[in-house]
Order: sequence, then C-alpha cells, then structure tokens
Amino acid sequence: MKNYLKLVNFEFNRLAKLFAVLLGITFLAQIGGVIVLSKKYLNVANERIYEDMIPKAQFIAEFGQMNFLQVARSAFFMGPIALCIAGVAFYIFLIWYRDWFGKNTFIYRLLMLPTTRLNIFYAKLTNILLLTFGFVAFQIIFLPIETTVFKWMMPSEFRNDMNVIEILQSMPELSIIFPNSFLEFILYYGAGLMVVSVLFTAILLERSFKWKGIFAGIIYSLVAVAVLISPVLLHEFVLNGFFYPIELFLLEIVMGLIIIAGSIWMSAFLLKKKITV
Amino acid sequence: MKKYWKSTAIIAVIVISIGTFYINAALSAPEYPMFIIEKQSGQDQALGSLAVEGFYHETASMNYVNTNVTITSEGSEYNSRTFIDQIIGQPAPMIEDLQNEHRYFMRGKGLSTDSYFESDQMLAYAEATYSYGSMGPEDFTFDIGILDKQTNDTNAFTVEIPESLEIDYIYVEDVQVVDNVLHVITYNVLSNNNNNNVANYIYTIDLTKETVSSYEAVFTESEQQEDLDINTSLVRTNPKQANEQLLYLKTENKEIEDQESIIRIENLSKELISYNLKTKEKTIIDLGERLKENDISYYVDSTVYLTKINEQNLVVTPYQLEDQQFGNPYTIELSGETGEGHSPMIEVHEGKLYVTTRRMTDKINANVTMVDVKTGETLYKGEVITKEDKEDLDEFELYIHDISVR
Repeated sequence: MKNYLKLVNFEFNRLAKLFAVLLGITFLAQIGGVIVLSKKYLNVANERIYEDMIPKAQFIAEFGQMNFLQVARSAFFMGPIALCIAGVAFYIFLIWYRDWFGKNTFIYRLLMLPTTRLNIFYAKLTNILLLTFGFVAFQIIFLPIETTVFKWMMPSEFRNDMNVIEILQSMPELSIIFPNSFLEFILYYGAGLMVVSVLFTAILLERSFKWKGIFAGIIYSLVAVAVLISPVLLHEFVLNGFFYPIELFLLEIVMGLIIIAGSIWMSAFLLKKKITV
Repeated sequence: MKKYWKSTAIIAVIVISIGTFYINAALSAPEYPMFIIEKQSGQDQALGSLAVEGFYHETASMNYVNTNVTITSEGSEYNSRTFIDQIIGQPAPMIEDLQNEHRYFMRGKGLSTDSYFESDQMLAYAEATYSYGSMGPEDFTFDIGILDKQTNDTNAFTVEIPESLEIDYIYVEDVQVVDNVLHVITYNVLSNNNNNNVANYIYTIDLTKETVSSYEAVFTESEQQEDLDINTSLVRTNPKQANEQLLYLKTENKEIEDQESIIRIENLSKELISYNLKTKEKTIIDLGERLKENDISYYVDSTVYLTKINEQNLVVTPYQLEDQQFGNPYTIELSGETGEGHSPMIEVHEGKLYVTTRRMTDKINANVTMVDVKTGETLYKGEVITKEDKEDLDEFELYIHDISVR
C-alpha cells in the first residue's frame, strides 16, 4: 500500500506541470471569453441605445438579456475543455511510453523496484483518474469565479443570472463530463476507467510483443467490446427480450467489472512475465 | 510529508469540489407541490384506490418538460426522472401489476395494455411483430402467450399472419378469449396494387394446433375520396373485461373549406355496429338521434355509456345492448373548465362511474365524482387540491390524462 502511494505521488509529480499548464490555459481562455463576449454585447447595446436612440427597455426586449450560457457555449469555454480531454487521451499513452523512450529508459528502474509490478499499473491508472477528476473539480471551481467576473462586467438589467448547477444542467453537451447525479458520475467514470484499463493492457501487449503485440492489443480490445455488449446481443437476438431493463443494466455493470478484472489480471501477467525493456 | 503536498492537495480539491457540487445538486432538486384528492361529500373510504394521473407543468418556467404525477386520496407521487427510473421505464399500472405477479411470463412481452386479456383463469397475450426487410417491414407474425393461472402452465408460440405480404402496418387493438378461443382484434393498414386500405381484422387462433384457424376483415375502407374520411374504430374497453360482443363506431367526416380557406370537419354520419365473436354476426345498433349528439364514452358489461356536456353538467345515458333499451339518463355536475378539448375522463369499475375534469391550474381545481353507474346516485364528490397554499405556488397547469382504479 505504501509503495503504491509513493508511486502515485511520484507519477503525479511528473504530470503536475502538464496539468498546471492545461488548467492555466483553461482558466485564462474562459475568463477571456467572459470579458470578450460581454464587451461585445455591451458595445452593441451602446451603439443601439446611444447612437440609434433605441430605449433601453426596447433593446432588451429585442435582443434579450445576456446569460452565462452564451459564454459557456462559445469556443472560449468549450475549446479548453476539448483541449483537456485531448490532453488526457494523449497522456493515457504518454504515461507508459515516456518511460521507454524518455532519457535513460526509466521503466528499467521502475520494474526493478522492490514491490509488486502491478503497483506500477495501479499508480498509472490512478494518475489518469486524478488528472481527469482534477480537471472536472477545477472547472467546478472556475465556474463561480467566471460568473462573478460576468456580474462585474455586465450591468444587472442586461444579464440573466444563473448558478453553477443551472448552467451545467442547461448544457446537455456537458452531461457526460458533469453527470446530473452522483450515481451517473460513478457509472460514467467507471466506464471510463474500464476503457483506460483495456487501453493500458493493449499498450502492455505492444510493449511485450512489439509488432505482434499491436495486433494482440487490437484483438484484446475487440474481445472486451464483445464481452461488454454480449448481454444486449443475447437479449435482442437469442432470448427475445428475456431480461427486464433493470436486469440488463445490472448485467452490464457485472460485464464492466469482469473486463476491469480481466485487464488487471492480464496486465499483471504481462508485467511479470513478458515485458521487455 | 512535504514530498506529498501536490498529490494530497489535488485529492483534497477533487473530493471537496465534486462532493460539494453533488450535495448542492441534490439539495436544489426542483420542488413540486403536493396534490391530494379532498373529499367534499360522500363516504370516507368510498373513493378506494382511484388514482388520477396527470402532467404537471410550470407555465412560467423555461422548462417545457411535463412531469407525470399520480394523485390519490392519500397524496401525490411524481415520477422522478432519476437515472434508475429512466432505465426501468414507466409501464402502465396494469402492466406493472402483471409484471409483479407473473414475472416470468411477462418477460419479453410488450407494454401495450391492449395486447392483454385477463380473467380469473388465464392471462392471454398477443402482439404483432415484424422484421425490417429491404422493402420495409415484413414477416408479420403474432407472438402469442397463454398463462393458465390455476396450473401456472404457459403456452407460448408464434404464428404467421395470413396475407402478410399486403400488410404495411398492424396494431393489436384488443385480445379476447371466448369459450377458450383466442381472438386477436387488429387495425391493419394494407396496400395491394397501389391501393391503400385500412381495415379492422379479427384473427381467430387455435390454441392447440397453434395456427390461425380463421380470419376476417370486419370493415374495410379504401382511401379514395379526398375530402371524405370514413373511419371505423373499435370502442375501447377495459383490457380486463371479457366481451363477447365488440363494438365499432363508424364515422363519416367531410372536410369543408370555407371562404377564408379554413378547413373544418363536418360529421356526416355515425353508426354503432356490434360484432359477435361467437356467431360472427354484425348488427347495426339503432340509437337514433342520440348517437349524433353524444360521445360513446364507455362500454362495459354489455352497457354502452353515451355522454354529452351540457353547460356545467355531464349527461350520461346508459344503453343496454341485450334488451336494446336506453336507461334513465342522469347528470353529473362538473366544475372547472369543460370547454372544447377538455372533455372529462370517465372510467367505469365495479358498478361505479368515475369522472374527473381534465385541467387544473393555480386558479381552477379539478374535481372527481363517483356515481352509481346504474342509478346515477352520487356516492362521492371530491376535488383535487394542493396541500400548499396556492398563493405560494408558481403558475402551473396539471393536465389529467388517465384515471385508473386498481
């Protein structure tokens, strides 16, 4: 346990820089978006009210008040989120390959540590989770800061206030990242954990058997997909809708857990017996 | 410990931030008013297990989602849209009861109450299924399931629907078992030689040979005249009710375009026709002028209930099919809105007729009345009210779409 925690901390220190940079970009771009877009709205308002002599009330009736969703749906807001998602996706591979291709083949030292090699796998998996949840957590912290800046920028008669929960619930495009209930949070990110563990196993297969391993990795991923959808296929085509929806749902959770367990077992085997430096 | 500050800090941020978010999300869940059916007159327990179902909607809110609410004399229950509820789905109360009682038999069965027939001895199920071919739906078959309630034996099989090539669409409107013969009553859309027909079919299924022993198009209407619409529809009954006689209402409507090119529909004729499943005989039921003025509201125990709205009253006229006689009409006083599109909901259950008005808002209440179906004597009168003070509530609308007595 202690060795595992040491490894987690060690890995996290290595990715802290990337994490901090992406968070910085996110914060600056989103605050920038708030400032730019509210300025834009106010400029139009000024033009219409002071140059075209339209009464304020009429302008608001025609143009509508500005709310935070207009910022949140813009590229200033969604762009950095997409960048962070891409960052996590990229790091799933980098977290392994940097140990082989970085300076002085670091994996050699990792594998030589006096602890079970599976701890390396767990530590890397934990770090992907930390990175992802870190982004989610900081986005939840950034949002109230951004809405406060929005309030400073916009006179109250021009804006329609929303709180963080209202903003996130009005954006179905973000509901996978910020699920509406804690149960969905567990399920979605549990599914994410399953995908990462399958990808890690595929990476280890490649590291163990090189070119042949890529092929094995693809096969392994396809098998995982087949296992996952097997209850649905059985239900639809063989058993004529035998299961009640709740049973099918529980079966899917069981299948997901089987895939995670299978990946861990497979990775343990590869790390112990097959991995090459 | 200093070595660990970064990972410790990030874990703390994650737990606090995401934790607070979900605690707040749970606390800020929308609050809906509590509805209850309150007695105005009548016996205390008279209403029994009547449940009124409606769509609740806050008129002023940006959210156009209707929330389904079930109201009884004990209170109201909203269908929460939680993740688990969405997975389970919301089958009709009758289907839910059947799933609880006959969990194995109900596996893989459709959710339409029209597909079921229930008596003390048996539960029968028939549903039309098809596969998607290159030319649209094809290979129409009936999925049949019979459960013997005494022995718990099930008999399930599929039979091909005859003349399946001509069928474009088929819907099972009713299932009846008369003297151990299963009848599947359907509404078919047919096409042959570019002729589109709609037809009401009855398929008789032999349960021992597992075949369709006979079938008949009871009514066929071809879609020829453009502005004339002839439609024959089955008068729906309680799915738990055994009926030897089916009732069809044939209406002829004409589209009339007036000067401002507004199309309105004029009713030319209405005809009530009964079909006997045993003798396969069709009989026109002569109701005279009454049919034209009234709606056919309910058909139970070989009595048809004709209703019409007369100012604030609902006038109910029973008609006994067997002795071909009208019973004494009675009136039920309604309050609230009874205008167009808001005809009240009517349900007959064990000799009692239940009526509710359709719409309730923060200004008008919906009312619930129960009368003796034979005499028209009022047994219970009540009102749907909110437990909260109406002045504290946002503007809302409750549209009642179903009433059921379990």
